[in-house]
Amino acid sequence: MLNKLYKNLENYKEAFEKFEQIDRDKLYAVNDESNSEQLELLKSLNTIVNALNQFNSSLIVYHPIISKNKALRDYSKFYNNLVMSKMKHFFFREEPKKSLSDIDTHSIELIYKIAKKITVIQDIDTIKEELANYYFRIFLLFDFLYTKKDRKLIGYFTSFKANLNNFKKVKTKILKKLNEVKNTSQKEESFRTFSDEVIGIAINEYFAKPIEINTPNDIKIVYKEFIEERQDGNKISIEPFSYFIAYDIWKHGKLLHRLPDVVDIIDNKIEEYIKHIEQYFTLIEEIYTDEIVDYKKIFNFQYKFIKKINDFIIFDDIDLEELEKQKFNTDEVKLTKLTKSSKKKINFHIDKMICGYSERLKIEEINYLFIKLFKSVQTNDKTILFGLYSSGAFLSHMYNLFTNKNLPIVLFKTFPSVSFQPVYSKDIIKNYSNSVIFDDTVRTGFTVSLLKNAYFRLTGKNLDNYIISTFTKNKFLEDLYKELNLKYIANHYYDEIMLFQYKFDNNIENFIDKDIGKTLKSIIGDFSNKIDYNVFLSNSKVAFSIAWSMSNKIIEKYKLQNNDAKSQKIDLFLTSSASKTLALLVAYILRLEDYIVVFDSTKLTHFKVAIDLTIKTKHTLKHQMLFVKDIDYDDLDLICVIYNYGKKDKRIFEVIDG
Amino acid sequence: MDKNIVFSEFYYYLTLVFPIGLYINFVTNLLNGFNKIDLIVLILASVVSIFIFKLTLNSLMISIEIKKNSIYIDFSMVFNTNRLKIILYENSIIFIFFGLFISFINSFINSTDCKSLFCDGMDIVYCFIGLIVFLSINSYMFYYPMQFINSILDDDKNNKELNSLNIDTNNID
Repeated sequence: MLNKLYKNLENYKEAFEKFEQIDRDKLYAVNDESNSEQLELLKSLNTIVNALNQFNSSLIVYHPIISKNKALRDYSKFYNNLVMSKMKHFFFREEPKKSLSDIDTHSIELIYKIAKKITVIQDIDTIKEELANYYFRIFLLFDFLYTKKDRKLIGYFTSFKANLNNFKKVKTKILKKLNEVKNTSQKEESFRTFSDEVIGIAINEYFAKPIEINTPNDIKIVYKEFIEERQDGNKISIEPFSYFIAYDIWKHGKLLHRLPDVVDIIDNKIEEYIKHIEQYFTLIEEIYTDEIVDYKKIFNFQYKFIKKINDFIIFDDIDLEELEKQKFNTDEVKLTKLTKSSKKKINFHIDKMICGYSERLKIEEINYLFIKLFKSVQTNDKTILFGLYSSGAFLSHMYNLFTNKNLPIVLFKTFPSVSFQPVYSKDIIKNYSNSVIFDDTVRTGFTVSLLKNAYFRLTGKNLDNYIISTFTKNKFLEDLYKELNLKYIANHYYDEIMLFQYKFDNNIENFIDKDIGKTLKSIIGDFSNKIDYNVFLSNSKVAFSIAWSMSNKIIEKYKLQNNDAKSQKIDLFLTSSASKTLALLVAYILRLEDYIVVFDSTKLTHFKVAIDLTIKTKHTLKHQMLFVKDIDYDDLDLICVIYNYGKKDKRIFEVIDG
Repeated sequence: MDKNIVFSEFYYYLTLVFPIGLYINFVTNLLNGFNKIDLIVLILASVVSIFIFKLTLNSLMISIEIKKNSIYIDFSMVFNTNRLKIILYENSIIFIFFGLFISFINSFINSTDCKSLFCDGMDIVYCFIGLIVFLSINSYMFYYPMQFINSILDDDKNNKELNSLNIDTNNID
């Protein structure tokens, strides 16, 4: 076991040594993103982060002490998760950002040295100390701040400098804001708003004249300003501890979303949490006085809160298999081949493909693309489908629909944390011997390796027997796919392909439960508030039934409001990867009904619908709309959710109400 | 390759030659005239010395696996200093008895009469030479793992200071 740990440690070392040898100045300078040199850089960074993730996973599974100690294990999981999710979201996106600065190679090596120490030490207290040091440094090393400029995303790996004055400035600001949260009646909503903006708020304190923050959009200006300052040659070094605390607050705000919805408890938790943050700042101030970082103290302090969160996020188990046996019929889904064919250049981004607005891909052509994709996928009753949120999750459902199967789907999300969903998927995963991983595109394979590592941490075994089904890969990154069993149909996002047309014989109704509202009502009633709503997206028949119910409502409302039947355009807004999966299913059904769907439109001309699993404070939706699209919540015509925890609102359609 | 692994490999092969100390006894005999019994004792001593070598490793709980030019070593137990002292002590005792035993057998085989059985001064000298060689090698066995560990701890000295958190990411020109 320990040998495997050493091997992974050495793999990390090999990766960064290789990275150090490449001429990065030359590579960073290249502007063309598809340039092979630029990709070389991306590949090397990808290899380093993957190797590090793999080592961290093997620490959790193989380390003789960490693997047996719950505190050490949970701590490692929490912070590895935070770093990897951050890396995925802020750097290894489908369109990765361009860095204008080099990553700090000294830190890469230092992290290796600390990792080496963690590998050999046996004393629990020393391990705690080193783990806190280790994850803190990884967090700082891979921090990347970016902004949109000239339709490109550019940014810098952040510079850090320990500085008591900066620490105090950020501390005062954060505590002031937290006090405001404490004194409002809408604690949950204002805390969520604050936690979403806290990183920008912290960064804002470094400007000579801080920007006044009133709307989520102002946060974007903060980032923009920060990047521009650096482009002007003014390198701002961030104080590391206050920044880390800000990230902790951000992450905890996201986790709050997952707490069972009992208002009193959440308000108490928020007050308790504010106290925790105050103590956190005091602890760091002591460190500044001592001039030596007591990482053991930091570990114990941080773990105390991780434990509280873990103890609190517990969901009830729902068995959908039984439900399926009672409710669904098994009539075959029919597709008819039409003779028309044409050669078309396709944008394989799934929402662009589905929406049929800018690309004008006919639904019959989309059907053909699915058929073509699924043709290479062999499954049996021992197969489980991994749906990478949100496109992969959607493709898994489409696979089940097109093959008229209902193979279990385990959802995998990478943001705001790396996790399988539903939360109790461990037992499901263990029962299946092979798997298919769905995603719309595989680029560096970073998400797939996150999944493989998460699987390894969960089961202690490697994910061996799998295929990856994807529309596109990048032909310039061939060597990254060596270990991946990849089935794909095109070589780039935009690729020309011969298209046939297949008509879906409009009998999707055979696949679903038309009474899903009633069915869900009985389940939700029994399970009180402790439901992980993602569970409904783990079963294609349930998910399609929900989407079908929502689509029906959208069409009904649309017809009521719009007499002009010609345009039939619907804007869909979403808040999270789960809601996007659901929205894609809804969009597909709407397309079958000849509606045109647009995702996250910035125009206010069409019928506007927001889709989510649940709604309570409306904070996420409001914030997301303002932050991403600068559109007001009040402009929405309809909000479709499975369950509404909040107040009744005539614009909100709940699936459980039918 | 990591310098610590080079060290580890170095000491690993070094300890393989530790039976040399024991063979010094027999070299004299071979020079004096080779006979079958000398050969049997030589083989016996080799087997026993390798056995002791293994025993030493096991008692240290160092497990070694050779893979693709590198050796992965589990040093877990070495960190317990009390155990380290005991192991050193045990090994020394084992060696002294073993050395005397070999010396005795050797003298016995080569003696023409019982008088010389305990009186061969040279055998005792050889035995002590063997002891010194063995202990030196044995201390190498501890020295290098400790070096390995110390190198890790040395790295550690400065990374708890506040300044070590300064990260300067340079712009690309």
